[in-house]
Amino acid sequence: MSPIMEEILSDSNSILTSDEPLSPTLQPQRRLKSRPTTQISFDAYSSSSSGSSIKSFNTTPNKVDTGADYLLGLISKSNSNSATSSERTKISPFHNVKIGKRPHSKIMLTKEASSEEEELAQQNICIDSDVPLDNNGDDSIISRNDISVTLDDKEYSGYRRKYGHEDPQSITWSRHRKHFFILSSAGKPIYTRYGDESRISSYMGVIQAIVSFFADADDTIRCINAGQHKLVFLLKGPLYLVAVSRTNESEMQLRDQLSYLYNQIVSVLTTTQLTKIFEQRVNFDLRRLLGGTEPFLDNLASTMSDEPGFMFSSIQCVRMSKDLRDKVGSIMQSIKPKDLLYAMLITNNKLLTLLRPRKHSLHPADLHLVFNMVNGSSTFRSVESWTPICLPKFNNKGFLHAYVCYIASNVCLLFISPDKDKFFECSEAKNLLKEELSACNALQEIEKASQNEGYSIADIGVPGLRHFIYKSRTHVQYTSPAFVAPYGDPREKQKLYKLYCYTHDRMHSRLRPLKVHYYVSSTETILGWITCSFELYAVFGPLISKSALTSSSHTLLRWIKKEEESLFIVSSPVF
Amino acid sequence: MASRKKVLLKVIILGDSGVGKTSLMNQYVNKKFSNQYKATIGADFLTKEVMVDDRLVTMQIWDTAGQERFQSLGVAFYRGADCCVLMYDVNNAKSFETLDSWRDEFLIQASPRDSENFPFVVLGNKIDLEESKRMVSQKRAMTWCQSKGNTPYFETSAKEAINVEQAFQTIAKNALQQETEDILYSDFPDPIKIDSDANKYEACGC
Repeated sequence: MSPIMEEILSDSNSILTSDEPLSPTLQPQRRLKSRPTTQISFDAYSSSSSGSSIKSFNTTPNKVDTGADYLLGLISKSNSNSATSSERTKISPFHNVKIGKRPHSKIMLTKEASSEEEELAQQNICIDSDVPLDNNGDDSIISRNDISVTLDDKEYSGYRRKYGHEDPQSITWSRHRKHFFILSSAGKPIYTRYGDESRISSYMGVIQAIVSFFADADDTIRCINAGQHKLVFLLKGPLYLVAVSRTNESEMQLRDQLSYLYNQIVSVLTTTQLTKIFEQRVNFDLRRLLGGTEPFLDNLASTMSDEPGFMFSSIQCVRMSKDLRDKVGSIMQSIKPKDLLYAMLITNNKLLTLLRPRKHSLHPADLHLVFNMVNGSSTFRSVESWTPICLPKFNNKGFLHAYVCYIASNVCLLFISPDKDKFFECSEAKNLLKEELSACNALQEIEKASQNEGYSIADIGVPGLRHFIYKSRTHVQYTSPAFVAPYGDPREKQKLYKLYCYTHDRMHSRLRPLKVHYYVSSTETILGWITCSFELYAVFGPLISKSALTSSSHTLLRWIKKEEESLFIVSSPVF
Repeated sequence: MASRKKVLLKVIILGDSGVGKTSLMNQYVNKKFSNQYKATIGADFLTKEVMVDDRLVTMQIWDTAGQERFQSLGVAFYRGADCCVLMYDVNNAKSFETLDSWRDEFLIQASPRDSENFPFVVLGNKIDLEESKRMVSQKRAMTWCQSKGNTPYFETSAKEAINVEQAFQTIAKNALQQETEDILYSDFPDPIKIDSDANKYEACGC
């Protein structure tokens, strides 16, 4: 065993908090302790592959049968529509969705669903992206002339959603590879990733009916596997979140993504407010309070599809010399305003430096919300902003207040304080910081570092290595080189990302977590390797020998060890 | 509070099997009527946009099955409705007599906050049939509605589209009142005190 792997754990120095135990092998049972829930799987393909993962099947056979029929009703909604559409296509603001229990309808519906999928497969050019990579879809949306009511009601926020006007009955809408729906427990729509949520309210009714059906038996629906599609449910008190995906991501990965979306809503409202509202009025239309925050949900939904930080529940740092990082940190320390909780500099979804109280570190999930807030809106670029934000992992019951301001073209400064009246102190501190950073030339240096797209795989000089993701479990941070050829092409990049997802899922499988995973596809070889201090996912060409792969991986680990202080924030200033 | 979004209203239609719930829906939403009877399986979900007092409102209509065997759609199914429509067939006395139990069932399942003032609308359907077949007089129905807190009452015909628009206007209006009458809780929660031990961040071990 290489000496690099025998790293000593030093959790006291970690700037970030991790939910996971540092040694997964010691507590393999941890994730199994969830409530008794049901997973239905009723197509031959997925039941054979995931049959062993069905945890508890505590519904009666009769009930499962009808549950599956419910589902078929949902999946075949477009079919049942087309059956009656001859009379309804002209009056399209109305949607009619049925859920049914007829046992004999099952086969017929499955058949229709599969023929629809074939049709989809033929039409679908970009099979690996959950966001269409081409813009052809948009043209066809515009050419549909049956949408009239929804065109003017979104203008209030000045934000035009890219897919906001898609007709839920259209093929472009159902072709999206990953849908997210958020609804209230009353079945009222709150958010949809594509289209206008009020126009899919019938689908929300179907989801509510499915959830309600299982709730009646004191059961919770978790996941439905239907052909290529996975429907994953996350029920969070008054909110139901559902992902409908054919991206091959696992149930766990999709559920994590739903949690991030839930956290995003909590960051706007706090759980206190959320619970109180629905306790008072279960029929409340939450869109009234979330109005204007769709850009953040949209941004989160799309970044989750290509940013590994969510899957690895960790964040990435800007690669820069330790001296520079320390210098910036100590200047921030010296100017910090009163009553500060956190101060940080971020750029392109990466952390430059973080200043924190000794007692509190920051959870990556909260940091992702902060990144999402800064990236989700362009308004922060032009002005100094002061905004309430709830960081659910820190405290989901109350608001903190964030001062946000760009101090260089690409470098964003945040001060987070529990006191809502500290704007002017923060603003002054920002001026001071800018002055002092410029005085010692550090501002220019961090600006330069922030403009880099990241380091290149060629810098490392490891033979055969194409790309990698390395997560330091001690620092709760990951590092990964820039995507260069052949992964410069968005389609290839998506494929690579999918490979990472697959490997990650295999290694973190609930029933049989793996320490090492070696997988050869027609285009890549991937090595997954988990120890108590790191997770490594290294990608090579398909023809590399195992011995070359092993030696290259060790070279890579040595390089990372050598560069550790510039790749990660090893110690952050505290007060 | 003025809402920038279209208001969305959840409307549930209840009543015995065969009183014409789906037909009325179809007449209202699709302007179609068929004499052929097709039992609703489980529930149908329809959406229609209407103008109520200059406000554009999306009605999410939950057309439920009347048959006994579908009464297990789940406790959460009725939850959060803004209006409940009770429907009977004026030519069928039994369908009128069961309105009480439909109403009670709804109030138990949905448990609205203010069950006294929850908006119901009662519809007596199939008035297009000849008078001799009629089993429930208008007077009898109105008396019942009055005893239930002056519930609005309409006599409708899904077949001839009599009173359908008017009935749904009232439904939307009453539901809208229910939706908007409360004052929003919009106060900020208490600020977080980061130094107090009671409020210590559980997930953080450092």
